[in-house]
Amino acid sequence: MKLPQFILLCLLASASHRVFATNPTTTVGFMSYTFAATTTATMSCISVPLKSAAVFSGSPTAVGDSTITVDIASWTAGGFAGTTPYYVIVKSGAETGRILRITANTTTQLTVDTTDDSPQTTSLTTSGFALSTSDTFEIFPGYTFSSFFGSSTATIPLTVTGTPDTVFLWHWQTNQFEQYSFNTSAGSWQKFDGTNATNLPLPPNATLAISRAAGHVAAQFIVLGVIPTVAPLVKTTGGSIPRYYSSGLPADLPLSQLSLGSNWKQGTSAFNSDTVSIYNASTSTWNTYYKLSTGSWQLVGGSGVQDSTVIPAGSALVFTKRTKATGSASFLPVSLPYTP
Amino acid sequence: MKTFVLFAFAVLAGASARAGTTNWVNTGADSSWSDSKNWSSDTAVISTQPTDSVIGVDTGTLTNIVTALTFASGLTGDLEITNAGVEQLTITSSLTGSSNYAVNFSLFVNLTGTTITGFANDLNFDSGLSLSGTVTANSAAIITLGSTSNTVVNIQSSASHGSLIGAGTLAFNNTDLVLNLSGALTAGTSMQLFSANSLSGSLDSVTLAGLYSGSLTYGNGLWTGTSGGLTWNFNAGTGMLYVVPEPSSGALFMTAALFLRRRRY
Repeated sequence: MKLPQFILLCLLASASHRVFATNPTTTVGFMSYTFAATTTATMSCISVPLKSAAVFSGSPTAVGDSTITVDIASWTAGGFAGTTPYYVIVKSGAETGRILRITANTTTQLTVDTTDDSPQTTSLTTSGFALSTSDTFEIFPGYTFSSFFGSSTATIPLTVTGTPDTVFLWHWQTNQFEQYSFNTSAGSWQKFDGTNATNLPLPPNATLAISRAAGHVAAQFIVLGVIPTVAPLVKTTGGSIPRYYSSGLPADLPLSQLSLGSNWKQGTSAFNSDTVSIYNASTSTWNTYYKLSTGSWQLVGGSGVQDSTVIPAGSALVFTKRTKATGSASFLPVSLPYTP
Repeated sequence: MKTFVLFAFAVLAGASARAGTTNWVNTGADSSWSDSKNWSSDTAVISTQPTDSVIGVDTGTLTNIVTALTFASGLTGDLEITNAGVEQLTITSSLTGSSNYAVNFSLFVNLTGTTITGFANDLNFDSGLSLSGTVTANSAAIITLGSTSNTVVNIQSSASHGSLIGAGTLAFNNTDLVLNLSGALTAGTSMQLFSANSLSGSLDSVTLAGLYSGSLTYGNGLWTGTSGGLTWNFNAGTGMLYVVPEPSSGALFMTAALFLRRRRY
């Protein structure tokens, strides 16, 4: 599927997506997330494949372990490390698709978080996986709870009164979903422990689980953004630790077309293979798939080839690698559902 | 609050509590114990050696809670407990084994006030461990905390916090330690997070999460950092966490605390 012809309305239970404008370098569109009225408690897991438009595009003039220098830049010092989170996305070279949070910046240099939300760092100068001065990258602003969901009762499309809708955000450090909701009295998003989360960043690869109690009216919100043009790179340190990852699938993708690079391990069962899990809202469970050495996908606990199973646009995905990995081996390129 | 989060997800994910004892039956097929009820019983007993020595949790739900998990003494070799995808395992009361084999947990494990008994060989939490309440281990147990994922200690207060106490050997295998705080602490607080006859190995990182944030840096035998107007000091050699006032007065306090505390090894 070529991107310019990419006009699609897809039902996820929730997500639809349409391209409505394009130019030589950027294609923008929207994703519409629809939550049906509830008669019982429901949980939906969504991702945010569309990113905000880039505010800078260029190539490094120098690269350090966690720094990117652009001599000709004239950024505002600290401007990318304030309340609004900013990210670097690498657009070409060995690290294509890698997204890194900017933690500090001068007028010409960025310092980025090279953990990729994992317990290990991967230097930008890793041999065989280095960001080079011939590569290109972009800087784009990320979302916070308020910029993504809204900042007031009037603007938040979810239910915020009575038993409010709850947003669960996966926390990679504690290995659990943490719980957030909008507090109408305080007029702010709050974590379950009462801390203010209004400006808490939603990582570009965030997995969001939205819990709605019975009796809630239908809800919808629309996210505008740039259609990804490079396959996202997801870091999985392995050791059977699930990596919740949700970027890069703004359109439906059959499992048969899901490519995860040479680091993906195929096997004879889910317990000796790498796996990908997709949330099934109708059963409130995660369906987990693994790939046989023959190349066909299998469902854990199921039978038969699952190659035609479709990963819906906007799905939350979980990747689990069996073997421990570091450096470039810890990254998986997740194929895009179209040709940019 | 943490319990509430887990509970909420368990309910929404369809997990249900079920009383009774479930005995592992080796199907020989995929070594899976796939029915979620097997991982939500009061007691789960593994008494038959799996064909490939791997027992998989493939319920499709994040939360899988057993009150007691027992590995029978008659098992003939080492075992691995792993997950298909998202699954974690929570053990709320007892984890029992024997000296005949080693057990490796290749999935994230939550221990909440759990008593570990019977193990005398390796008990590896290779893929992450969360500690809530006092987890006690028998004095012969050789426990290794792995490097693949974080070891999370949940701390509500100085009187209520996760800990792992009493093992024969407790080894940090380049472990990433996360202190997850759901309650505010005051200066002058100290708590024993780990203890063993032999406390060995090294940590890769110590990070604060929850109400506090930041990373501690290692130097002079201590992991040290400041957050929330407090100075945090963790001694991996003794397993003690000290929360002291800001650096000027804190340095004095720490000096006194370290001087007064008898080294454990």
